This record gives sequence, C-alpha cells and structure tokens, in this order.
Amino acid sequence: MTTASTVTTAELGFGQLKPLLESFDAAAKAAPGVEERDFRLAGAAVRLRSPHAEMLQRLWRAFAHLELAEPAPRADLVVNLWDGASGGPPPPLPNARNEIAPGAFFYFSSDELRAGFQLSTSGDPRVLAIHPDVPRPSFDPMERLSALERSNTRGWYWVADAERIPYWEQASPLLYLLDWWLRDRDMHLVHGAAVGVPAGGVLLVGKSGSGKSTAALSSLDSDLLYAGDDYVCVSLDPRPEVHGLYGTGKLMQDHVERLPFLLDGLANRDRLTEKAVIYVHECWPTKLAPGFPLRAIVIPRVTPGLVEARLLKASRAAGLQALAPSTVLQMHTRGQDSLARVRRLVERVPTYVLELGSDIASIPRTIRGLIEKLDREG
Amino acid sequence: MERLGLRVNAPQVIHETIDGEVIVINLASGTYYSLRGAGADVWEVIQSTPGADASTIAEALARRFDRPSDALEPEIADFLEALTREELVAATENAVASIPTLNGLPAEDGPGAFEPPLLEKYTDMQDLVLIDPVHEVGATGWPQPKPEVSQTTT
Repeated sequence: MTTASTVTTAELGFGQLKPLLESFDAAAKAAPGVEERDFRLAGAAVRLRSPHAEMLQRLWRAFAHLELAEPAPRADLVVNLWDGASGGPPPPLPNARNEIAPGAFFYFSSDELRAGFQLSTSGDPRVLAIHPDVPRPSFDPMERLSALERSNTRGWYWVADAERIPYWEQASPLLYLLDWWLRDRDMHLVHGAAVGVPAGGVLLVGKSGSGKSTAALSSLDSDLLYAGDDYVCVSLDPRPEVHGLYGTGKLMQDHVERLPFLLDGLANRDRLTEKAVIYVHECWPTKLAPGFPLRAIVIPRVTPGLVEARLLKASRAAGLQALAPSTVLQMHTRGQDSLARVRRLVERVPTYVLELGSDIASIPRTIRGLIEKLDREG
Repeated sequence: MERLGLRVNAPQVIHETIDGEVIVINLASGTYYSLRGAGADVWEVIQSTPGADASTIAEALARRFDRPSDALEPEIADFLEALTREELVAATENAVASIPTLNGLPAEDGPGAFEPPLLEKYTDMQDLVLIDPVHEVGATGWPQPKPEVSQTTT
C-alpha cells in the first residue's frame, strides 16, 4: 500500500465488525425501512442498501445504468449505507484530531476487514491536478468511513452527513471499497476512460488535463459507446476486458465549450465554476456500454496546431508510464501488486498516442478506425 | 567508489520493467521515474542482488558491455548518488560475494552498446500524496510506535 507517514490510534472498537453492525442496525431500526438497489458489475451482483432513502439515491445514481431488472437472488457484495443523522451511535472512528491535511486517508487492515477513513476532503483531485493553485476548501469536517469484510461479501459506508457528500464523490461513489473488492476478484480499477463498440474498445489513459475526458466525452456525439470517464474496471483473463463502473462524466469549463452538446446533460449547470457532472444514462441512455473486450491503450495528447486527430504507435513503456502512476497513487492503498497488474495489461494490448486537434468530431472517428483495424488484424 | 551495499527502498518504492525501461514510483513522495539506458541494468543488479555495492554493479555492467569497469565507475557512481538522493535505494548491510550476471548476457550477438544511465523524474502526481497523506491505524485503540517502514498490505 501507499506508505504510512504515521500510525494513529482509534476509538476502541475501530476495525472490528461488531460495532459496525450495531451502528448500522440501530440506524435501520430507527428508520421506517431499509431500501435496496441491485446492479451488476463485472459479472457480479452488488446490492446497495440503506435506511436513508436520499443517501441511497445520491450514491445509486452513478450505478443506475447497471441496474438489474429483477433483484438478484443472492448478491455477491452487499454494501450498507448510512449517516450520522440516521439514528443510533456512529461507528468507532480513528483519532484524527491532530491531522491538518483535510483529505488525509486513515487505513486499517486486519484479518477481519479493511477500513479507510477520511476526516474531510481536500477537493476534487482532478481539479487540483489541473489547477494546483485554486484555493483549497476550508477545513469543514465531513467524516466518511469505508469498510469491507475480508470475506469480500459485506461492506459498509458511513458518512457524517449524507446531504454534504461532495459532487465528485457522488459521481464516483464507494471508490475505495469497490477497489478492494475488485482486487480480491482479480480485477483492477484503473484511472482511465473507456469507449468502444460491443466487439471491442480502448482505454484512454493519462494524467488529468491530458485530453482524456475530451476524447471520452466526444464519443457521446458519435457511434461509439461510453463505459466511463475517470475510473473503469479491467480484467485480464481469459482476455483483457473493460467493465464500466460509473455512468458519469466530469468536465471542466473548457470541455463544455468544446463539446456544447453536453450542456443538455449537466447535473449542476448552475455551478460550472466547480466542475460539471453528467449522468450519461439520463440523457444518452443508449450510449452506455457495460463493457467490451479491450483492444488498445490510447494516450490522448492535446496537440496545438493540429486539426484532425491522428494516431501514433507508442511503446509499452509509454503505456505503463501513462497508466500506472495515477492508477497507483490515486487509490492510496496500492502497492507493487497494482503496478505489476498494470504491466501485465500493457503487455497484452498495444499502446497508441492519440494526438488531439481542433476537429473534435475526428476523435471518435479515429478511435473507431483503430478498433476496426485491430479487429481485422485479430 | 564507496563500498556501500544497496537495496531497493521497498515498500515505499515500487517498480516494473518493460522493454528495457524501468518505471519506478516512490509512494511516499508521489514522484515517479523512468530509468533507461544502463540505468535499467543498474536497477536490475540492485533489485536482483540486494547488497550489491557500486564496485559490484560496475563490474556487472563491465561484463555486460565488455568494457573496463573503471571506465564505467564514474557514471555509475553519479547515477547511484541520484538514486540515493531520490530515496529510491537505501543502504543495506548485506554483502554480496559474487558478481551478478545480467539477464541474457553475454548476448549471442555481442555485448551491445553502452548507453549512459538515464533517470527522468516526474512530479506531476505529487499533489495526490502530499495533500492527502496516508496513515495506518492501530487495531486496538492503543498508541503504537511509529514503524520505520510500513508493511505492504493487500
């Protein structure tokens, strides 16, 4: 995992199952009922359940495109969601009183479960990566706790106040919990976007600001399908495949200017100074793909002076360098195994650089051409 | 050259090699690196033979490229100093008795050309780690001493 800078202490019971169960059960008893929603992720049934209907709806929205038509007879993962206002005692939390970094991540691992706690947030990491000089949000504590039982079948997500879950977390909810769960299922959550057709698609990778979102979201105005903008799941065997996770897209102001058709889908049109979020299935319900075989890794590169997008073959090392650092560093609890998985991925599919020009419509056209070429080559 | 044994500074440093290039990530700083040329060979010696010192590494590369080791030593010493400065390698008391053989060498088609070791550093992801540091939490609620190096957890 990412190395710890210090070891901290916790309230008695932190990291134990019993107090977690008691906290959720108390919230459930205080509510009129517990609502459930099921979705299918990478071939497995995931159930979200909560006594807090509005919290469930906020976190569910990003998964709605994967909803199962009928409740699963048996869920492979059940995630219990509740907040500090739901009633009952809060779960035990780490002692974070001396921490001055709002987004510091407190990680706990035992034979029984894994847990991650954040006191607050330092802001949307994508915005900060592109604009490191923007003022940080004031330190306004909004604790959140993620936990996953080692059996990999039960998870818990608690926040102090569900009404204050930030927009970027609603667009990619339960990230750490799903990362742990997927890793134990031999799948890998990677930092990248994915577009394609049912027969095959590409993984768009690169740091924030590289043109990855522009390339992915331009597909919504084309015959390509969209499987995700920021994080997608990848499995390697028997063949590399992408599995869509969040049916959302996050845009900066300049994305909206270059892709004006997206204006219809913005969930927070009135707050474009933060970041625009689109829930793709709500405006383009036929454009989302649950996944597809992975044909190539593509590194977008904004290229001043260029008009039509064009592809250049790139080395496998370039693919590893474009995908691995952000995938490993964004998830906090990654280590050597994660880097090795990314290396195995870049060994299995070719890597290309996609130079982006001013003709946005040429981007999905060029990607489509690449997919067809690779399909012909087998 | 200083006779200091070296090892990869794991677990805070992770690395993978592909097509003769090594990608190294320092999880503690959020910095990542590309090692190319003879830099990838130097890294191979360090990671496959913990405790190899500068002389041992120079000798392994001298055999790899069929060159006198004292001709390589200055460049390799500078490179090792850079790796140490970036905390990608750390000193170890392990001693190495023999000179390690680099993969596939000597090659059937000759020793190949020596390319100077290259270390490229990238800092564009540092914010992810520096803004949101990671802490490990003790299980019992009782204070625990700060470990010198945290353990890799999966």
